[in-house]
Amino acid sequence: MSPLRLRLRFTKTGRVRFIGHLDLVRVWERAVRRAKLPLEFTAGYSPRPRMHFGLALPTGFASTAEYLDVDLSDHVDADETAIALSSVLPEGIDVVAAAAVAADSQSLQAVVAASDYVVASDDDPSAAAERLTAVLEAGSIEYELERKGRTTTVDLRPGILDLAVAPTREVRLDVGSGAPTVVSGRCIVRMRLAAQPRSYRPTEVCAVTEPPLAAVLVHRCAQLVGGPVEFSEPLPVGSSAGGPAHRPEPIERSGNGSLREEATPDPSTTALAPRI
Amino acid sequence: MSHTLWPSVEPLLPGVARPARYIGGEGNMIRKEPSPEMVRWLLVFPDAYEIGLPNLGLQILYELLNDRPDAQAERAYAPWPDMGAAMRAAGVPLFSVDRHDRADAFDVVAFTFPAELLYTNLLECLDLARIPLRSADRGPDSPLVVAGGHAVMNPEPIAEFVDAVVIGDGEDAVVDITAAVKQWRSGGGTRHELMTALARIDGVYVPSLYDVSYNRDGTVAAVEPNHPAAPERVDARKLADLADMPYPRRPLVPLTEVVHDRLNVEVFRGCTRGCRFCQAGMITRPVRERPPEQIRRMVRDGLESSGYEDVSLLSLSSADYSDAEGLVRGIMDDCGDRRISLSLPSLRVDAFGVGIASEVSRVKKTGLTFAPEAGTWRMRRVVNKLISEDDLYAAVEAAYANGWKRMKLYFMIGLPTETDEDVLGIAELGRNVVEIGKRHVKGASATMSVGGFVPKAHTPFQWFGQDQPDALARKIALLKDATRRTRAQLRWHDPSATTAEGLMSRGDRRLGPVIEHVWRAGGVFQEWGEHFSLDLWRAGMHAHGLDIESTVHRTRDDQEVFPWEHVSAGLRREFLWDEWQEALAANVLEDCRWTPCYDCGVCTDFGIEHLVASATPPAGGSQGTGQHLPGAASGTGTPVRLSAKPTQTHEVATATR
Repeated sequence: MSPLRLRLRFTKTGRVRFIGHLDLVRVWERAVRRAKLPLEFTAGYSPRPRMHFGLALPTGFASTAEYLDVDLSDHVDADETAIALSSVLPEGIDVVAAAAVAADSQSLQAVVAASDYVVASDDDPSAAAERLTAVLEAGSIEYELERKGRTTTVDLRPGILDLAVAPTREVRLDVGSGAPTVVSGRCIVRMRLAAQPRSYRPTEVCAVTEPPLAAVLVHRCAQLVGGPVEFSEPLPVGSSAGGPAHRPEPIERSGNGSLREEATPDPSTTALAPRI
Repeated sequence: MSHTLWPSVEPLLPGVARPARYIGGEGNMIRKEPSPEMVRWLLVFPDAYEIGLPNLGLQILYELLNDRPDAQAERAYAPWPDMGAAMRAAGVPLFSVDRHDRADAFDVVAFTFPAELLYTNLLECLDLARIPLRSADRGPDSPLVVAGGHAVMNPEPIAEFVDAVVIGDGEDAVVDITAAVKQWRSGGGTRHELMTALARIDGVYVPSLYDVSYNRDGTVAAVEPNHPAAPERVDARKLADLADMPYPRRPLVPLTEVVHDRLNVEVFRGCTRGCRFCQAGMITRPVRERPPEQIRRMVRDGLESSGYEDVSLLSLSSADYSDAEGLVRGIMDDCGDRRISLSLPSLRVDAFGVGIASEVSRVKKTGLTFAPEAGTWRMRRVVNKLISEDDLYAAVEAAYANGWKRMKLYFMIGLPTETDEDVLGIAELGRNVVEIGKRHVKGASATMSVGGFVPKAHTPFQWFGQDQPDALARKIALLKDATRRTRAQLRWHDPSATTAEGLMSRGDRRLGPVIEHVWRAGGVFQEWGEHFSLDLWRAGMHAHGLDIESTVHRTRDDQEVFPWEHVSAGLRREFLWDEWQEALAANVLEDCRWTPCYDCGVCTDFGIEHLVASATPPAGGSQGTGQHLPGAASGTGTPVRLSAKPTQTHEVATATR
């Protein structure tokens, strides 16, 4: 067991959102070597840096809340490490928070309970709200899940923790590193989806509305631990590294079956939209 | 002066396979803003991104041009058919991956052709770029379309589609082309004036300034210049000293999976082993070794700027680098306790080569590849690939002893004078390799990859009539029979693809409309089994009244005028013809670096010479120096000698008969 573990929160935005998870792993392996971190290596013929990724992000999704734990053999300054890593990572991947965690911490894949997403859609906001309300009101939602060439029918409804149509056409996600990421579209939908027993995807929710919602961009803005009522982020932005930042407003848990407006207006956007 | 197409490209990406092919943003990507004074180059690799990105030639020119104040260069790769369709549907033209700028905004669109089957992708890229397909149809605003690479040593099949062809090494030629374009642009001349200016550059061939005449039987009578600016013969450009070109300094590091994903450093160019089938070895003579200090610096800096941990020392036969051991030791010393792995592809088939490979490889030793090329010593004498069975078995023995588990052996079939005995020799070698393996590894196996031979321009075998696909298929069937119920596994290349490759490797200008026919019928990415179709090529040949037999399967005589006669890699026709005759007699020719010059023409006519980094010839047996060739004089086969267990020796020797 490694004596030290550094937890990193990073972005995957812009064109780099089109690289796959395995590509991302490779990019990170090179970055930690180039940043000359005191790495721990796996045993065996082809030793690789010991790293533990959080929930994999589907290719094409953007994010300001990806996580990675790196095992180290020596202490490092979290802030300096975040800066050093960002300078060798490709454009669009930036470390926005870094902090030491207990070396025996459970893997994020195991403990992350839910993710928050911002989905930009080409649909009309009120029509989208109507369709999403129907989703929330349904007792169960059949969805054909394709895995390894086999199709199984699953119920999506338990994975949908919350849905809300944002009152604005633009959401600014400020993670304190560079310019804020702006997600814009004709209509913005916020979703909180369960990550256990599997990671539910916003595109699945979009697919089951009648007619399906046209998602232009899916952006993950938080991974959450805890629940089922109180959630928190494993590493909020601004913790340790990344400079001044505010936390993206979490969607408060509401009773299943009612779509409501967002609880707190994002200060950088406009005021609340009327209840839909 | 240019704006990015990214906003139009991005919405297409969620709907296509492997979208990371189109995003650029690689590590060490060069962000150079173009300005009106610069000549802008789009360097296109006309195959999938994952094949093209690591291409060293393209990376060298990319960095070299961007280092110059008068040039700016970006890259493009052939969009996969799903992306091509999406781009057409959305009205998005071919774009660079660097700044996502449209292809026709560049002054020069340059294609590299490592293989002939990529020619239909030239048309696909031009069409997507909205550049007229034919040189004759391009107006003053069309980019200049240039081609280079080994395949275009016979440039004739694509002569109509390109404005100029770089013959030989590209490093100096692109600088001269840049200057010519810049001067022409400032002078406001006609496009024809640009063509004549280009034709005056050493190593640049302008097809439109040449006329081809044909004999009654359909063969080429002559290829002659139709303009005083065009030389009668275009001689290949040859870089005298690699030390002048320490590129790439900052290798591109892809964000997604590509082939050869490691630090690639070219240690020498050229090869003098004289394998008679090998176009690369013939056309890149003489041997020019990079100084060892420069290689070490390139490895150090390259690792630093890339984060790679695998290094590959590239050349046609890297263990032949003089004092290869010293170089390898130096690199390993430089890297100290860093966890790097060094590899020498194109591994020489002997124990020395394996020894080096074993010393430097720190990755898991799974498979090792050798290329004996032919199954019997007689056949290897014909092709002048002088690997004795002793060498091969010693190499295999060393490989298993050093922990490698699987051997992969490369062979060709359809070689000149080949008999069924020669073909079956491949199976014998495979079985013997498995026998050696059994002594070291439980369940040892060997894979034999067999490809049909395609005669290439500027080689001694350019006169040879290629095997028919059904003849190749029969030989493959023989091998399948002979390897049944053994652990020697057979893999083979589609004989029909071999035929199509043969068409373009020795075809003339009349192939142009055939290439267009195949492309219009959807025949892109012909290098890929899932897209290749010989029927398309047959239909194209038929539609234009051409005969596959004459181009591909006909053995030429000494009167033949080749379609590429006006292009030279420096090899004299008499030398190639003599070598062809020697091959038919199974006489061998030694490596001219360590034996007296036999005057192939390259060094003497071009005024250059071999440049070696050390007076120490590479260590090793017959492979190292070209000396002590077993059976070279007598012509008898080398007896199988397996040292460890006499009983097995007997078995194997019996099996060899």
